[in-house]
Amino acid sequence: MTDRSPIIAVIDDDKGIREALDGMLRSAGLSVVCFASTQEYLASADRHQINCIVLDVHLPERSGLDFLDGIVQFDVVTPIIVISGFADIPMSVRAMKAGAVEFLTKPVRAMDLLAAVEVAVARDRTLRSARLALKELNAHYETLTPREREVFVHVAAGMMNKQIAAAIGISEATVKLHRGTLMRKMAANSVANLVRMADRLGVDLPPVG
Amino acid sequence: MTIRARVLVVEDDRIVARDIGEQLGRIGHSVIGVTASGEAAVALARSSKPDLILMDVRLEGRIDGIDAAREIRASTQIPVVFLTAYADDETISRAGAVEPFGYLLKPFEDLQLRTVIEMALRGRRAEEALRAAQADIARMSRLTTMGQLTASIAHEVNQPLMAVAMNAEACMRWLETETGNIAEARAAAGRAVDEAHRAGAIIARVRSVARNAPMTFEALDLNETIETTLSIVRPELRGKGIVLETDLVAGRLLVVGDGVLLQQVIFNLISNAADAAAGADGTDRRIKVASRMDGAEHVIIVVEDGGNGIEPSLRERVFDPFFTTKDDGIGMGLAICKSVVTAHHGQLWCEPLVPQGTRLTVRLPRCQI
Repeated sequence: MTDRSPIIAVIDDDKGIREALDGMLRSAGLSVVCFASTQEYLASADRHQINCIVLDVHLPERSGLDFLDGIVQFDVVTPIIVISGFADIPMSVRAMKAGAVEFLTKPVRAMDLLAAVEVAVARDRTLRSARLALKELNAHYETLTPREREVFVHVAAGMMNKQIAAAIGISEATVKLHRGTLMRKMAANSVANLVRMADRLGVDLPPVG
Repeated sequence: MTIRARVLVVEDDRIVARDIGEQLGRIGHSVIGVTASGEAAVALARSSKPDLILMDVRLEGRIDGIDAAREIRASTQIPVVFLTAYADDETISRAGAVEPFGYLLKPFEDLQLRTVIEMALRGRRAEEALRAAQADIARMSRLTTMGQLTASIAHEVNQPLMAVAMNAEACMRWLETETGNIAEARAAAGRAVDEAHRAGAIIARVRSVARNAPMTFEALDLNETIETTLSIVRPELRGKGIVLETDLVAGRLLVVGDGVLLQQVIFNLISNAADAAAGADGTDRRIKVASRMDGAEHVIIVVEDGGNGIEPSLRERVFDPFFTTKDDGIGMGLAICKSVVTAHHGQLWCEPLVPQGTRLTVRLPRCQI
């Protein structure tokens, strides 16, 4: 909540509830966008700017929980708060398993909702910076030449320069040269750092031996 | 043992009428009126409320005994016994259609008259007992329906209540800020008022269902009854993930009936269809509610589901009391529907759909006003 106020999406088919949630969240200094259905939300072009979704599981067409189950498929990475009129345990378990941050039962207290929104927004911030970091990392990796990538995975696998030279059939001096360049390109300050990067990038490491 | 019955004699032959009067006196009954015309018989039956009517089939005037009996049976519960010298097939079949409580072939002995009157009075008592039982069932049905409605109502009332609370909290927050945002606070308070009224409207609708009144017949628009019922069941259907399709005939669909009871019939049928649709294998969960005219005299309501259907061997039994295919059912739903529809002089039947599913049809006489 540093530069701009977080954007909250309210997805509810009940106009009365939608407007009430909208007013309440705005009174707490949040920006709100309302949708009458999950379809409407998925069709919105700016949905990636949204920091938190407040979802009523009593939605027509596609029930709220089906939507939750499909979040991966629909590439919805925004944290979700589920509100429901039915407080049964199987449903809340299903909601949490599907990735909901919080499950609230109607009638929802404003305090509880605002607390959940705060948690969700914080999680969104963490997720966003992680996504951003990964994106940067990928961009760095893209700048490596094929040979540098080859040296990269061998270094990450914990091999010595001599071993690497033997494994890929180049001189040890050349390995050293590539190693220096790729460390600089990846902005890695240690081998341990490089190992973590390889892990986050999901690159395949060669067998050591 | 024999009750002294007050009898209305409808006979156009004065001498025969006098003889019947004497016979009735001998066997311990009293004559409260004698008339020769069918029209007068209908009026007398309504005004003097006899226990029994002895009705000659052939009468002077515009309407004969059978027509008079039909009119009397339509508006009262007074048993009618036909007196006739004619025993031809056509007369008997016409007379049979009025469901008389007995026939006497003229001339008849005291003993025959006594037996027929005894049977007619006994039949009348059985009919009264049946009617009382039906009224009990209707009252019970109201309570059962209330139970089923509770969950749905709770959800419906919860919505505006939550909105009221949210709006009130928003209103307070707008007022608490240093500058205070009066316009926003006022808007939130206005929304809270609207939502409170919405909750009130739901409660009012529930109250009309909950009242434990006797059957009241009045002219009503069946389409409106269907719409009201749909507004109650919609949240439940939505909760079960069932798509509701409606195809109501345009305009008003007038019938004479008890709106609350008919609403229960529709509610029960939709609720059953929803259960069937929810339990169906491998189909979309869809139910359909339709209304239409059936000729000029009748109206029809159809409720269809795409469920697994009813086994042919069980199809005849679904209307029996305490017959159920559900684990948690008490088996009264369709039995109650049948008794309510019958009390409205209508029919209720069930048939399979192709490739799968069930259709329940209610047929009621149309209001001719």
